[in-house]
Amino acid sequence: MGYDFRDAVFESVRDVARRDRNAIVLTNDMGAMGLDQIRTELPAQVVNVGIAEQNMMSVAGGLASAGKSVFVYGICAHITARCFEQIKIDICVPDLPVVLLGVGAGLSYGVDGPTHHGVEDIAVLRTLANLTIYNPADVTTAGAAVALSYSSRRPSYVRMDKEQLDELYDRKSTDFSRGMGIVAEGKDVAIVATGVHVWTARAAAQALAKDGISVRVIDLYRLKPVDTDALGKLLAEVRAVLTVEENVATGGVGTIVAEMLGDLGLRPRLHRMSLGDKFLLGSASREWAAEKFGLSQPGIEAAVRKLFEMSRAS
Amino acid sequence: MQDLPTTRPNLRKLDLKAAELRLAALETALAGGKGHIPPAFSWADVAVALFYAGVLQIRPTQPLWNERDRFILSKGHGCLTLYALLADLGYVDAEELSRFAGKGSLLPGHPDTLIPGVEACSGSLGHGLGVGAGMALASRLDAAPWRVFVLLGDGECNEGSIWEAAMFAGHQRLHNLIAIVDRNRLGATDFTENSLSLEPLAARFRDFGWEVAECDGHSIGAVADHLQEARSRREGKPFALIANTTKGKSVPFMENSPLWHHRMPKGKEIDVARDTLRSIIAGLQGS
Repeated sequence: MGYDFRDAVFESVRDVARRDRNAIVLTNDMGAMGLDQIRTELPAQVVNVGIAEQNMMSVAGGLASAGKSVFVYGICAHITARCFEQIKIDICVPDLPVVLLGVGAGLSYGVDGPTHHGVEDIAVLRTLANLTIYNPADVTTAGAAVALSYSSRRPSYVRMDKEQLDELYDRKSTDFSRGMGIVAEGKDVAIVATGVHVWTARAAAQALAKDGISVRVIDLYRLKPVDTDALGKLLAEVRAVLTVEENVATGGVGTIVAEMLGDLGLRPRLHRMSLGDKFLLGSASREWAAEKFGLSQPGIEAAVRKLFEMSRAS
Repeated sequence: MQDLPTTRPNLRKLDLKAAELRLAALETALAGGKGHIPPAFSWADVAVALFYAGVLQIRPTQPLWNERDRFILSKGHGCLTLYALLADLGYVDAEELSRFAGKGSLLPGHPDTLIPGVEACSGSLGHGLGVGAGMALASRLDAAPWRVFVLLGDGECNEGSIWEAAMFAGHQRLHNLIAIVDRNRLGATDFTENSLSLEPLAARFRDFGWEVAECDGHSIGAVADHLQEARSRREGKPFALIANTTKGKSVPFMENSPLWHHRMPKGKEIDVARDTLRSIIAGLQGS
């Protein structure tokens, strides 16, 4: 068994729980190896609240308002939209130290049907003031996101993919508080990607470099708040921008970048790749979606080539 | 038991306080030109039992005292009574009542956590019991003496989240969680038994693992007795008191009427409501 996102996240949670007996983990009857280890070692600090997400969020708010640091674990799709109002009113309005840990970002659970697709959660939660949202592309970032969320003493949401992905960053030398990382340098086109498709975008950039197209790939792992000054500078240096995400078309990275470019008065040619404005019925595996929506290395390469040609012609 | 209050003002004084809070709530609504008067009136006697009869262990001069009992007004629309008592106890400046629901003023139409003495944001129904359960769990984890009291609307008990929280509290045996249902039998537009019936409400709480008692919610002594007894417990089930109340209590034309939820009195109605409350106050003062 390799080291995956949940391992990284719960290792970080365990580190916190060992030194802070006020750290409490809630789950809606979901399991994870790392969570089981915490439960065994620190049983008083893990509470299975049953399959009741609304109450889980209210209980988290109540615990936090009484001095606890709370982690709430469940599937992205289930611990966000259903209990949105509890997250808003019981956690974000009073600005409490609660970290939501969602597993199943994007189409991690694609074959499990629309009930399990974590594709609207970013758009939904991005409307909440006081909330920080992390969407890490590697286990190192995931662990760091948990530590940063805990130390902020404010509401956060950390999304986890189901894949086992290698490390993109050096744990010790990286400043994760920046909220973004450059995983490929280039000057012609910039790709702003998040989550699992940071890897796809980086692979596409490496292939395009061989054809003389220089592509900068930015891993936007903190989706709220975004350091718009820093990201704006990175995008001001290119003539075209591509956004890549495994989310619905609205409210995610494409929207974030479009809003930011508008606010900053930047006018690069922009193309946004996503899962579009539709529900994915049937068994929507990641591979199937990659073909259908072009969220694949060839798909991203083609999109970059097109952008590159258009930006040269204009 | 050292955390139990040793004295209770006489019942007449408590009834007087309830009448004064109702009048202050009315004046607050009139100043703001809006507000839910009848839902505030229905729990005013419960409020007095909680805050003035020695049930809640609180220090108004230290709103964030660590070991204070927590009180959550889950039926946030009943906040006119809460605001009146917070002003009376000194949590907020009494002048704030006249700025209720004004331009950027402290007190909105439903309470939020900016207000000293308010433990949770409420107004959308169905939140308070779960938040209170989380607080009660924290208190138990810390082996702390403080308790959590949650005032629920009866119509609010239509919300599924109330029953998620009730199931959780029963399962966790949160003996330090005390719910009071303001059972005025009216929702926003109709009687609860017509819209989505709640009965048998006591049995439902019992089946979810709660101990339940019922009493006249306008008998301050009875309410306080039940709550003090519940507060003194060191273990066992969470406790629910079903307080049978009259929505709009004290002003006859508002009482028990589906028309009177957030309707504002106009013209002569204002005079009648004021005069009724003033004469109740005078009667209680004079004897």
